[in-house]
Amino acid sequence: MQQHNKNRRHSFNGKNFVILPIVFCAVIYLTLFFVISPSASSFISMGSLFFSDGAKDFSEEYNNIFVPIDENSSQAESSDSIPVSEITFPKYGEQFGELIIEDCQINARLFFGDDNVALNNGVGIYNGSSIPGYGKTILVAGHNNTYFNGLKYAQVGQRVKIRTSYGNYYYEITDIQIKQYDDSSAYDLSADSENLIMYTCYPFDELGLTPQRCFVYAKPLQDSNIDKNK
Amino acid sequence: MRKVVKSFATVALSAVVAVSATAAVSAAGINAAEQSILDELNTTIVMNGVEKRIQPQYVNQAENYFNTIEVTDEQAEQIIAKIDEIKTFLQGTSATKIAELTSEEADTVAELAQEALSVINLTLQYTKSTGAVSIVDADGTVVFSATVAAISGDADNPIKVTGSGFNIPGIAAVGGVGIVLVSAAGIYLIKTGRNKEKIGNATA
Repeated sequence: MQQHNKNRRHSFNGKNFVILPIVFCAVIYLTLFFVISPSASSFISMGSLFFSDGAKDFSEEYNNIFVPIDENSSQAESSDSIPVSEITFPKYGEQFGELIIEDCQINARLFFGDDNVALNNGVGIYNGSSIPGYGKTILVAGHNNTYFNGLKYAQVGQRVKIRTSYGNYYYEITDIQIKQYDDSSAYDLSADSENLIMYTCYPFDELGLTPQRCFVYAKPLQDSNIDKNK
Repeated sequence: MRKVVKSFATVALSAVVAVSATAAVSAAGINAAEQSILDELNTTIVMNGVEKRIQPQYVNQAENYFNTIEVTDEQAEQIIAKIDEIKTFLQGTSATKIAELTSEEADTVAELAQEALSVINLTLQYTKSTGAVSIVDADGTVVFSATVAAISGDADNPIKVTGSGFNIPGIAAVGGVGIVLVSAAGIYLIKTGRNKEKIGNATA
């Protein structure tokens, strides 16, 4: 009988009921992670995220200067000329419009600047590129698991609509390419004609950091209505 | 190494800082004075026989900033003079690129940039941990941004990380709660087991 009690006491110690369950949970978690993770590169990239010494900004505060214009007004269709002096050029980090691709179920706030705050709340234009109507390259970034996840449905010929306070601009998707993130041939920031480039990480549903990007190219469907001499 | 990296950032930003040496008033579009500055920025510089040009994204950032301010002819002249001064200095060094400047040379360029900054109330910011370099106005709004890595490599990569983001504090919190729950369950089982032992002993 004493031996029986000794065995029972031994079976209810901390090792069996605290340490082992924790180890068990950790092993199961890691096993599931490896099974779910689509490739080893994801794990490596995730590791780089954990060990990164970069500060991540989780602030959600931003300034919104976007005032939607009446869809039925002439200004909305960007047909009438707008003096550049009447346009409030956005400052870095400000929301100044919306980007909509109905065929891709994308409807996102559009920011000038592509920092974490912008990409957490919508899609952002690189401040070394330009904004709609100014006749230059517009480089727009968005996360593949949120606002630009819909880019996986992008097809040539689909329409992109950008709404701003100074007019609505329409573009047509002309090309879709998968390229490395450091491939500088994916964009031309010195172009003197308006072109829209939207990109997000590729593959679309992969966890962690990926070296590839999906670039969606679009051309404007109207001439710029901004009068730069006024 | 840190000094060299800091020097890279300082020198590369100098031209842009000088360009941005303006008093901010409400404005939109690019006037003749601003265009003359942009044209000056688009010219090349020869450093010890090697031709260099400011990357288009940096010029674009200057142009975007000019769309929010009004530069007078007088200010443009001062800015262009400052750019020329920096260019002349760089051409007088033996370096073929910014990375080859000595610390003293980099400091000289930094002084020129600082003179411009003190006049216009812009602030140069550098974060060592991320390598991020930026210029902000009096309101704290970013006027210019880049990374030291990009500047050092002579070419910027504007493509951002757009994959899944991970909230490390959130993951740590969830993990912590999980461990607490597992531990509590373990302790409960231990106590339950001991109670059963006591009951068993009493029964025996």
